[in-house]
Amino acid sequence: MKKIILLFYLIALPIFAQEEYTYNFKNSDSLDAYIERYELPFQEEDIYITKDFENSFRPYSESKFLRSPRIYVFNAEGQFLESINNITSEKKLANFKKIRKRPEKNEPSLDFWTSKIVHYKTGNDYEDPKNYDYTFVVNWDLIESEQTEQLIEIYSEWYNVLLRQKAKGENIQIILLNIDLQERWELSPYMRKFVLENVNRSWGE
Amino acid sequence: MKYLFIISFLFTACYSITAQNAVFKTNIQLMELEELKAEIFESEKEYKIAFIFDQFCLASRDIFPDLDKLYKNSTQKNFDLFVVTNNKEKKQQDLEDHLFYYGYEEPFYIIKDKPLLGFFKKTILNICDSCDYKEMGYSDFIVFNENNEVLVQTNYNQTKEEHISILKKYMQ
Repeated sequence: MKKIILLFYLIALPIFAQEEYTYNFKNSDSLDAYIERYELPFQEEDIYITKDFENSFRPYSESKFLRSPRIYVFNAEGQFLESINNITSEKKLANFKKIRKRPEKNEPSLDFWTSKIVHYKTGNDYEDPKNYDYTFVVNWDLIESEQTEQLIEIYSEWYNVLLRQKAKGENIQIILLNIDLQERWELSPYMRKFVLENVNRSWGE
Repeated sequence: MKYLFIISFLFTACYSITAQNAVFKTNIQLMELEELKAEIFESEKEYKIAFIFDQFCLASRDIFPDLDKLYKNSTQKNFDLFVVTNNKEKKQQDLEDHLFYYGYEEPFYIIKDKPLLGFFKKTILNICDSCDYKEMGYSDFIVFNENNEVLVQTNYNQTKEEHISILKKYMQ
């Protein structure tokens, strides 16, 4: 079963080929260091990670919701509308009228996904009783590669334009979901080794 | 001293919250070519820069983030910038979205009487009759001095780095 989980995970991970990169587990310090190093404009309160491996990361990895860089948009009812990539982002994030209105069928709701994430520092569950017109889940990770500069630009552009929309009065919520492997999951030494070996072997191929 | 520190802290905190929540506004003006020429020539700044821009041109998109940094970081403000776009009047919303997405605050100009053909020839010759419009492309620019004499006319054979280095000189 675990091998199947990992297979899904490997398929779902972003493909920015780089042979030198070695995956490892991340924690709030490594996230902070990355944000500081690349001067990402991220605000701490918007940053979340997956809660655990089995019940949180696994369902993400089995879905299409673990790609990066990607934004997943949900409407006021928490229904999934569409995903935005760096090709469509300018059109859709600058002008919400261009976001798809009809929800995609048979997709889990926002509540389903947010029940699986926690704040990256406090570890507190995601809780926001306020109703938003749109929720934007911005997936990002800490990959270091030849494309890092380009990725940093994309993350910054996306977050900044959403902040501008907020400042303009749009009733939106932004969740910066870091999709890396997390120390906070507290996997057994055997599982940590197993996960890393499989992830890194796959990336070397 | 303690109160001074508290006041100073509150002031800084308030300023930072205001800055974060400041509403961003684009700056797009619609005008006829003659009006644009008057606007440039009536400016009393030391340097007047007319930059030719196309939202969908890779060269324009490539250079503009650097130009934007120069614009936002300029301290002396000894220049006026006129970003002349080839957007049609009815495509103003597209330009609006583009500027909003990238946070560009520079003054952009849409030409009301934009010709169907020969945008370059008519626009450039209108504001600079001595300029060689055939040598210019999108992301090229003309720098005038306060007497409206041409100081620099760039051309499409120049690199982005050359353009930036010229802009640095005038956008102080």
